Amino acid sequence: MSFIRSFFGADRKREAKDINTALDMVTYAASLVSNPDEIDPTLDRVRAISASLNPGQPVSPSDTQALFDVYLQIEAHLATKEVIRTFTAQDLRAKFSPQIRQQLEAYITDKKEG
Amino acid sequence: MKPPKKIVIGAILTAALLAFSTLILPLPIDNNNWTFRGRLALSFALALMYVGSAILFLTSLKAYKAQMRYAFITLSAGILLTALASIQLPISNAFGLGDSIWSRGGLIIIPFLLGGLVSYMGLRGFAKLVGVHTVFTKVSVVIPVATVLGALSAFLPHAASISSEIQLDVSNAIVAWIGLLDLAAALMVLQIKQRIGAHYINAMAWLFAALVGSVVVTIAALHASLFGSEPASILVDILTFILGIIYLRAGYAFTQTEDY
Repeated sequence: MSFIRSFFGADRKREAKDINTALDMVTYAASLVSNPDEIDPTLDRVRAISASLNPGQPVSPSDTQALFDVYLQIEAHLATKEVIRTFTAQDLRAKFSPQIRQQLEAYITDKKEG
Repeated sequence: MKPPKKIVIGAILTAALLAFSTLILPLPIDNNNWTFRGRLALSFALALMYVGSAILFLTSLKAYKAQMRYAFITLSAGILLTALASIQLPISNAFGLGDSIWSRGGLIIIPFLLGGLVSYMGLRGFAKLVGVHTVFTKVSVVIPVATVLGALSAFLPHAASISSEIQLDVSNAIVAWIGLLDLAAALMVLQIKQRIGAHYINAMAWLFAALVGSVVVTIAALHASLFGSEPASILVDILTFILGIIYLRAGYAFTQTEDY
């Protein structure tokens, strides 16, 4: 039965309220890309960060910033290059928990200023 | 209640109502029996569920870009043609229209042929859009192979039938042709499913299930036609009804991809 559940994507269903970390943000945005090959090289950094984490270990601040960068690249891809549907950065970010959204927006502001 | 759920419930209730009405419909004396009425009811129910499925696919269009809309409209047109194909034959039989120009001139096969072809072309457009380019997306391979194998199936030995030899052979060839196109479409959808983002996996899985169901129904229909047994025909009717529900579910799953 688990094969059938997995085939129908039951194990991949993600609620908006579950998006609490930079890693969640990247996973969520990547799941919306219709042709994941187009963002595959971008995800190499995410794979490296995920692989370096022990179970339960939080992501370091520098890795969080790297994940924000990856997220922003995927967000730009969804907003401008996605072939099957239209996304906006505002709609995507509206799905995140307020805390992680604020962190992302603070990161964007810092990046612009410095 | 959200519109997609209303469409699903509306399609099921209308299908049930229409199916019930065929049970009390005045019919010519030759067809005034429960077996025929049951088949007519199932055909109507299936057609209504196909229509419901096409409406569901069309309602999710607003979320998509132009090329994807074109693919979905083509797929929906194919599903609607299949719905038309599934009801025209029982209606023709029920009301003795076998001698009409539509039946005699062979026009009756057009919705069957076009339904399979248009659905395949719609899904092919979808596949190409997401970067799936395999043997199943090549029209120059799929159509000739389906045509040759479909034509060959006309020569399969079969049990005695009340239909004429030519009618039965053409019918078998069309069923095989549709089944092969559905098989190519199912394999194409499986490849899309393996490639596409996780957000679309549930919808693609249901679409794959619907297309595999179509292949199973065509195999069962060919078996019933070749061996001519009554239980096999009843099995086709039951499978066809289940297929209608799966198509409806696939349409519903696509409406769920609107929310992200």
